[in-house]
Amino acid sequence: MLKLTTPLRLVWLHNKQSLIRLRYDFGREVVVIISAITLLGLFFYIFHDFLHQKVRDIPEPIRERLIAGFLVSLLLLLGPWIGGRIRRLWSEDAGWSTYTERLGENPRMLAAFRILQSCLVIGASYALYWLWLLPAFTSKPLAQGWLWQVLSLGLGAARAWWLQPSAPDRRLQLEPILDDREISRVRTLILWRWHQLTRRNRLSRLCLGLALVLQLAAIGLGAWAWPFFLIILLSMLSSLLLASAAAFQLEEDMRAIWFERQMGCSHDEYVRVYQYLCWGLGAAMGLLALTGTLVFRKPEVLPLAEAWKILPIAALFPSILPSIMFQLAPDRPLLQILVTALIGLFLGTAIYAHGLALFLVPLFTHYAKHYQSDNFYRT
Amino acid sequence: MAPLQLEAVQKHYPQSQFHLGPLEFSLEAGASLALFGKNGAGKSTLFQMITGHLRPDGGRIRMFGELMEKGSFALKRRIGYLPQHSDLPRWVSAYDLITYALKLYGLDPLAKRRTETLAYWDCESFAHKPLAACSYGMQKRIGLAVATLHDPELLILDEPFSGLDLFHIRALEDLIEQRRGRSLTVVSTHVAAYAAKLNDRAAAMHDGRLVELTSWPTADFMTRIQLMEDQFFPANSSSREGSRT
Repeated sequence: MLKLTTPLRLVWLHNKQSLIRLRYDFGREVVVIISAITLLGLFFYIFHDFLHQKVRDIPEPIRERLIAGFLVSLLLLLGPWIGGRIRRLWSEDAGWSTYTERLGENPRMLAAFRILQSCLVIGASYALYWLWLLPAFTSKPLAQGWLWQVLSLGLGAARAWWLQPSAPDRRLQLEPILDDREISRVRTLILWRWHQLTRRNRLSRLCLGLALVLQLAAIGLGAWAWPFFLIILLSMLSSLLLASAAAFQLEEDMRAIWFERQMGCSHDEYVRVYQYLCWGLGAAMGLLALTGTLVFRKPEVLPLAEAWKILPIAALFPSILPSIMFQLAPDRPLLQILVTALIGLFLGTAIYAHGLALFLVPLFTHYAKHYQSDNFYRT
Repeated sequence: MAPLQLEAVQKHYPQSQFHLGPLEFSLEAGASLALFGKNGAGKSTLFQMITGHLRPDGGRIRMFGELMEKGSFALKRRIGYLPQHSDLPRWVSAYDLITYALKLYGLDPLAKRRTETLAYWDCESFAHKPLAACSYGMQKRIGLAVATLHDPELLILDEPFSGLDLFHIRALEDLIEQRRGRSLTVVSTHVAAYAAKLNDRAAAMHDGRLVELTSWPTADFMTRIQLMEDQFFPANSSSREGSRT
């Protein structure tokens, strides 16, 4: 008969270790999340009337469909997230279970620990979703909830067993990303990152792809005469994804920044490279959003005086990132994304509320850049 | 004027109560210095300050007659530095990285230099593999290639022998030998045999202080190893050696 004392103790140690990590490894993230919640409260306080009016303008059926779509998406994303955690639990080399195995613990004990911990992760995650998140957004039950739940579990199982990204294939041969033509130093720095962003960094590529899909969806919704407010929201999300792509590349850069520092790369040079990339991406997305909006807009519903705002809003988030990337921790993409999201939300909503708020953007970027000067060598 | 001069250089870490310096030290042209000491003695911190990656809290670092300051980017390009933890980007190849470094240093002819560098460090067989798929030793060689491809006037290598096999250690030895009498080389290592064989000066770091082994230049190979061991096990040594700076 297998005693559960050891597996339960391992479960306790495993989860306690996560809490300790949260305190010591993610201290800055926790501080930023708390600050973000406070600032979000301030944001809703400032823009309460404006947002309330805009939400009220959305027809009731569309609003319900949007909430349902959001909740279903969350449920479907939860599955792969859980799957990833379970996969790591069963395979990671530096975990409690492997450590205990090397100390000579009975493999059945370890299997029991892994099963218990997997059940805890699945149970706690879905309980949080159904008992806390869902009631927070809607009082109605989720249509075909059981079906989405099964699908979420299926996606989780697929992630856990089949779709885990493996170590890079040792036979893989990469095409050169730079040719031998003579180009300027800044252009070399830009091309190096551009190719990594678009051809090598998987997370950045995923973000870029999703950003494009979301923007096209926003244009499509515009063609179906959905409220402009929703199209603006989708464009903001798409813009945030562009900024996230750059944030993930920045994290990758920071892993090996020693050799660029050694080559005499200055703070200004480095920031300028990200400015070119982010502003370029932002401008392209902004122009795409504007073109789509202008093509499908009905002038009597959406006057030009309102429609143009989609250009700066779709370009906003990646334009902010280079000004704040060395303010906190450039190697922590979550922090970068959180801070960019927060500032972008304020500025984007202000621009949407009044076009003159656009002048706040250069003002902000100027002062933000000033505060992070020379941090390239301090991080 | 000595090409590398430390003038009362200090660094203080209040959180860990660690104080480095004040350090007074200079290296003449063509010298090769072995630097060793216990883990956490301050070797890597000193290297980071010399290379301009870290600013000293006090004192000055002069290199080739110029002051190393935050804007000394041209001066930084005259240094080659391989840090102890020389992580490399994961999704590029050795070929990419060498091309990128050559372009940033503005070195010509690019293709010829790239071929020579890859060949010297024996990286041709995996030149197009992602670095994430390369072993620790392979990555170390690529790091060495990046640090040395511009034939720097000052080369600083922090634990360069770890992870290298004998074949590639010989390549590194040859490189340090070739530089002797011509350019400055500073090597931090715990491998006494390599330190004794390759360097004509030696210094030990003790709790943020630098102790030069004054009898090192005239000592033979075995005596040099003994001198190094004496720095770690002073109780066993017959006579303490060195001048504290």
